[in-house]
Amino acid sequence: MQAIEQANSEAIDRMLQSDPVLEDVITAGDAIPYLREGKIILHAGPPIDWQRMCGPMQGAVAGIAVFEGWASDLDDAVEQASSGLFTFAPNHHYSAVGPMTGMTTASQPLMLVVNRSSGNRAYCAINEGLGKVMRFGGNDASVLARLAWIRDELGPMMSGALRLSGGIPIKNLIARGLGMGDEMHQRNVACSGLLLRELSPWLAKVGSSGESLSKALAFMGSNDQFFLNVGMATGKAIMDPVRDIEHCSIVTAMSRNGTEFGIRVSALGDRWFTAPVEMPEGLYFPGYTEDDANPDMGDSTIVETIGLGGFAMGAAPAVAGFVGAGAASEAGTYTRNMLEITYQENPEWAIPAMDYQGVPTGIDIRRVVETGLAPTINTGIAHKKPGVGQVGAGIVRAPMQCFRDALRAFAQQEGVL
Amino acid sequence: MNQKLNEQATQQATVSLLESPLFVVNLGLDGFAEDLLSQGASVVSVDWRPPADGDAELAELLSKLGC
Repeated sequence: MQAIEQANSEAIDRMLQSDPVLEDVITAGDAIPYLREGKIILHAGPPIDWQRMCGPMQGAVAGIAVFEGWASDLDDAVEQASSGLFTFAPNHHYSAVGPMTGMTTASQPLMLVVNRSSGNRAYCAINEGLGKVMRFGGNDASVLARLAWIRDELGPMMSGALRLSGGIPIKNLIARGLGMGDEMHQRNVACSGLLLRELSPWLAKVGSSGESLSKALAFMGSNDQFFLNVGMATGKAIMDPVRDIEHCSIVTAMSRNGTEFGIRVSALGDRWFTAPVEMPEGLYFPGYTEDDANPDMGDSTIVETIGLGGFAMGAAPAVAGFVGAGAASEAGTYTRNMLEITYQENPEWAIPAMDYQGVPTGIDIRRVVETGLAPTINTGIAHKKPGVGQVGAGIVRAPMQCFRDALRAFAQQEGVL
Repeated sequence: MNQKLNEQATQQATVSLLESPLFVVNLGLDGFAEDLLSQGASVVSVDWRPPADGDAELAELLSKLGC
C-alpha cells in the first residue's frame, strides 16, 4: 500500500504548492466557448436533468433563461425547460464552480483564478449578495436587474482593475482571513474587506464616474459574502491539478445539486459517487422554519475540500452560533474531528485561536469510511420553493454512502476487491 | 503447573486493583462509563467506534488498502 501513500503525498504537495491568483473577470462564453453552442446552462453539483431538479434550482433555471433572452418570461422558460430545449451540465465539468444553484451561462461575467504553479484556470460568477438572489433560486425583476448591472458595469470594472493590478494572490489573503475570524464559507467578512482593500485603488483608476465607482464600492463593501465566490474559484484552481493521480484516495471535489450530493476521487477520474443530499440543521431568518428549507445545495463545498468552511470552524467561533453549531468554544472540535479524515494540517493556513493548528487538508476516503466521520459543511439554506431565496444557514454532513461506494470502486481499481 | 501459577497471579492482581481507587479509561458504550461514574469512579471516555461502523466487508477492504 506504499503506492497509495506516495500518491496521496503527491496530491498534498500539489495542493500546498498551488499559487491561486485572482487575475480577471471575463465573459463566460469566452471562458467556456461551449456555452455559445446553444441554450446551455451549467449548474451546481453532479449531473441532473430538469425533472429531478429541486424547486430553487428550477426557479434559477427559469430566471437565467429570461436573463439570457431565451424566454419571454418565467412561464415560457419553464415550458421550454420541460420540453427539453435547454442543455444542462455541471460547472465542475468546465473548470467552473457556482454557489447554491450555481447558474453559469454565456453572457455572465466570471471571475478567473489562475493557479500559477500549474497553469490551470478556474471560474466562478460574482457574488450577488444575500437574500433574494439567483443562487438561492430568486428570479424576479430585481434579481435580473442586479445580474444585468453585474454584467454591464461591475464585471467590466473589476476586470479593468484586476488587469491593472497584475492579479491578487489569494493564499496569503486567506491566511490572514483565518486569523481574523473567517472560515471562508459562511463567514467571509475579513477576506471580503481585505479583497476590497486590494482592489479599491485599481477600481478608482478604471471607474467611469464617481457615481459608478461609488455604487461598485458600496455593493462590495456591504456584502459580507463577496469573497465566497473568490474562495470557491480558488478551491477549484487548487483541486483540479490533484485529479487523476494513480492510486490516490484523496477527494478532489464535493458538490450538491439540491437533489444529490456527489464526490470525485483522484484515482477514480471524473466519475461521480452520489447519494441523496441531507437537510442542513441550522438557524432560520425571522418568519422561516425548517419546513421552508430546501436540502443541501451548491458547489461551495469546494472550500471544505481544501480545508476551509466547516473544516476551519475553529477559526470562526462567531460562525458556530450563526449556523447553529453550539457554543463558540465548541468550534475547535469540528476542526479537530476533520483532522481524523484528512492527510495532514496545512502549515500555510493556520488557526491562531487553536495554537496555530493548520486547517485539515486532503480528505482521504479511507479515513472517512474507517472513522465513520463524514465531512462537516457550513452552508446557506435556500427556500424550497422557486423564487424566494435564502432563509437561513446551517451545518450539514456529506452522505457516507458516497464514500462507501467510492471506497469499493477504489478497492476494485487497486485490485483488492 | 504454569497455568495454575498464572491464574493465581491474575487473581492477586485483580484483588489489588480493586483495593485502590479506580481510574478508568472507557472504550465503547457510554453506558459503561455512566455506571462507573454513578459509583464515584473516575472515568475518561474515549470516542471510539469499530472501523467502518462495524461493516465487516468494508473493514476488510480498508485493511487491504493500508488502514
